[in-house]
Amino acid sequence: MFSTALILISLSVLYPLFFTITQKKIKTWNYILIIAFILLFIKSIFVFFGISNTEFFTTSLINISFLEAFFMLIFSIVGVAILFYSNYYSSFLNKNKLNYYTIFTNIFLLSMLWVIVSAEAFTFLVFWEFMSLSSYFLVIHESDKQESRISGMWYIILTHIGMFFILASFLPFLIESKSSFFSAWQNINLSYNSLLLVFIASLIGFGGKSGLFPLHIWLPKAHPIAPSHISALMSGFMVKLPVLMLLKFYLFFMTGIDIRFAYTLLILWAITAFWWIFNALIQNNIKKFLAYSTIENMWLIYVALGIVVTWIATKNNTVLALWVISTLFHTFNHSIYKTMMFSMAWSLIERTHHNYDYSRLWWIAKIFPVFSIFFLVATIAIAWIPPLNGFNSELTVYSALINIISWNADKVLSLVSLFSLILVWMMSVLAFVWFAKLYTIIFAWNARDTSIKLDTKSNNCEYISYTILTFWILVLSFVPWIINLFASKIFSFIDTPKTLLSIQIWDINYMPVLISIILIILASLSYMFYKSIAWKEEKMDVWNCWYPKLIAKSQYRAESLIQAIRRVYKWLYSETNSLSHISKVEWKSYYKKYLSSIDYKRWYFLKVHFLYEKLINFVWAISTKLKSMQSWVLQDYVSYMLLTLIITILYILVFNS
Amino acid sequence: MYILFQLFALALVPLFDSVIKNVKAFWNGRKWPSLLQTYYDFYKLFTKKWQFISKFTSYLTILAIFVIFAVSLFLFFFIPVWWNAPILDLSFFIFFYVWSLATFFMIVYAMDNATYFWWLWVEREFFVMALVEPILILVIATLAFLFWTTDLTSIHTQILNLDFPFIVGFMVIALSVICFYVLLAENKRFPFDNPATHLELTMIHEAMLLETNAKHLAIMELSSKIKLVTFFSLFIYIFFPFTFWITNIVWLFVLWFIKALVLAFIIWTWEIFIVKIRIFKYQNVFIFLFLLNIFLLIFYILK
Repeated sequence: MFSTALILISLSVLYPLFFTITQKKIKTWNYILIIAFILLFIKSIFVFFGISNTEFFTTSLINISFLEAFFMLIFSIVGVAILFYSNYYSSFLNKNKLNYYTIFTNIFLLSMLWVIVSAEAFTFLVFWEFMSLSSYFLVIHESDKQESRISGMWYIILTHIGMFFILASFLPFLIESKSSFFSAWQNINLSYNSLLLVFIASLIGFGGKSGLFPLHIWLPKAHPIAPSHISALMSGFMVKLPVLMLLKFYLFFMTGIDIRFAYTLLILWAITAFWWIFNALIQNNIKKFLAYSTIENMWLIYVALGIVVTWIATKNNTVLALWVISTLFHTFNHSIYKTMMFSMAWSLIERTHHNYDYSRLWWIAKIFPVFSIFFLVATIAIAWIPPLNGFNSELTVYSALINIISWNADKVLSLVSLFSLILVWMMSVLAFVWFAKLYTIIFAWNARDTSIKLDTKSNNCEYISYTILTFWILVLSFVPWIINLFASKIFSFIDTPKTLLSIQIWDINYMPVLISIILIILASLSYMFYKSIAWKEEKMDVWNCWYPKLIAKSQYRAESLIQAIRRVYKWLYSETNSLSHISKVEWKSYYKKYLSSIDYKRWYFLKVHFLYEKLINFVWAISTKLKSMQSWVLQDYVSYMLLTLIITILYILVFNS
Repeated sequence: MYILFQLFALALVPLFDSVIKNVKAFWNGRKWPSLLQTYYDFYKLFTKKWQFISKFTSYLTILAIFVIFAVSLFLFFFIPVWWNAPILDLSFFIFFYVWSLATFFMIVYAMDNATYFWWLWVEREFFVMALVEPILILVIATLAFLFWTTDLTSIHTQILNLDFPFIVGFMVIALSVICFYVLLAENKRFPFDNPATHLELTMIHEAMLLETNAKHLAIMELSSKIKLVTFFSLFIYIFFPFTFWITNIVWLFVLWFIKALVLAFIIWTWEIFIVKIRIFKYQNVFIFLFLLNIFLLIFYILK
């Protein structure tokens, strides 16, 4: 079953290498890939229920245990939705580049699958590299644009720095176990120094891929540039792969883990979140906004991972085993709703003739109601509002942190947990504010920019994709205990309590189904009462501040809605008074002073680029010095080789004697 | 039995509004209206022949109104207001997060109507929310650490039985002060908002109702009044749980009502003697409360 899927996906990579691709062929191949992904879904279910099936071939390079099966499950759901969406998206692709898109998209899918299931370090590294490269080529698909090239450069450089650190984190295990198979790495007692090296290297390597501060800056650059279904895949699934690897590291490979590792995780990610929180506030580009939201959600997953590390390090509280689930739970939740958000965001962008600025959109709920309902579901889920799934996993993280503090074993641990807890709260409130803003600005009425026209032609493939994702959002919201089904298998060695049947966490009884049913009953009863009173409805103009009709100039914009919050936190922002968005003719016609108001596109908080500039200058200085070595004369190069050989021999003679 | 009493309590909700008006009139030396005035007002609004709505609204408006109303009713019915045997064991967390669903739909309603006052309200609501909600959740967390639970009923029982050391009692009193301010800010009362004024410079809550009329206005007003009473009951339930050895259900209900009236009287007497804070000075108050609460928490951890 798995092997069939693997063969189908590999064929989909090979086909466009040799044949010209048309849009019809893309659709056909997408349907074939959908079959492959459904097979993957069935396979992962089989793994969980212990049903064996025969494969065409088996190899020791592939290992699908419960943890891998769980990620494969998420991957297959996201993949099917994305492939349906891709059928809709493919009609907007550049016709000269169809082969390019298809090859790299399929390599991207194949390499992600391999990264999940590979049981050997070098296979893993090769496919990790394939994943990075293919996504890089997809990011720069509009390579004629400078913005695209620069974002791609940031992405590829930071990914490769990460790659180096991943390799470094593998080295102690390779040396100690003398095997490159992950199965041989378990039960190895590393010295504390090697453990520290592994921890730091893996955190930088894998954390960078999911947006850890200060390696996160590629994320808000690359995601908006990539084709939308690829952004959805990157944001929905690729950034979760490091979590899989880190879970493997912390749970299986790194025995003797230290509690200080947990502090590092919690604090570093808190800084990351802090950077995100105020940048997203002022973001009007919808895809950038969602990219920042990805960093925030990844942060919640990593806080949960920090709780896992705490549990492993202390090992004296069996109740805490329950909280291990929250990592997996939020990973699942975020994959689903972020994929949906990115897909829907692009649908809006395409329908409004490539308008990325969501603050210019208006009135969409009225002319496009079905779409707005789907978007409402995704928004409530992503804004962590009950009764949908985002809140479920958030609640597990809350309770875990409160539990750690109440448990009061270690004062420092309690303080660090408290710090995380306060940030989670601030974050949940601000996430609420931003998504409420996003939804209402796009879908509620406000004639901000009448030049925006919406194309309401709908496409079935697109809606199939949304329906699949909405179905999973509802499943995770109202049947949250299915996650317990998976977790009890994955963490069987932890002796997980089986009480997550409604989410019963600590002592919080949360019954999303019951609450929703009661709310629906109450709302419909009051609606029936409202309808039963005789009434006539008349649509009226509202008060227009004495303007004859509502005009854009006199209205609240996206910036105005958060003006008060921005004013309170103004000490966090550095303002730039750029006038780049105003043409020179316009500029002359206004007062200079009046126009020097703030350009919201250029607000920076915590100048991270400053750090990078220093680093780049340093590397540049060193490489200019080293350039003098490149003499383009053959004998020089031979003498370098000789010199290296002599040094190596000396090294061996001195240190091995 | 509980449901019957709760329905009766729902019927008493407009009475609280009358009491507020009367207390204010009393302190201003004016003649006060009848206690049934608010009932008349609601009757009038519900029986209006015409419903005017903004011509730009979509289905979101109707959806939002009923979600808000349903959430208010839900929280009113299912939190343990005066009786120690609630139908659902709701925790603090669930209470406030379910309320955030209503806030979300209020924002949707506001933006969907496309009026200037609504936008004004949304901006200020975002602002107050970003400042108040973290404090509110911190209060819950502190209570959770002190009593090892977030369940409303068990916190209530522990405070009722004075089943804690002296230092915790001190912290509970400090928390009650913080909670009191949060209650005022959440319900848009003095010193954070003046519900009686209709000046766009000062109003927060009233801004959202200026262009609403007839049944929509009635429903929105009713939900905001239900919210106020719910917050009152919750405050009493946690911080003044004393029942004075009463065990009869009817008398417990009466006691709850009297306590709520006394609290209302205290708040509105207090309102007369203070002035409203300027909007951009809110953060001073809230950041002080936030830091105070963090101080309490750290004190708890290090003790």
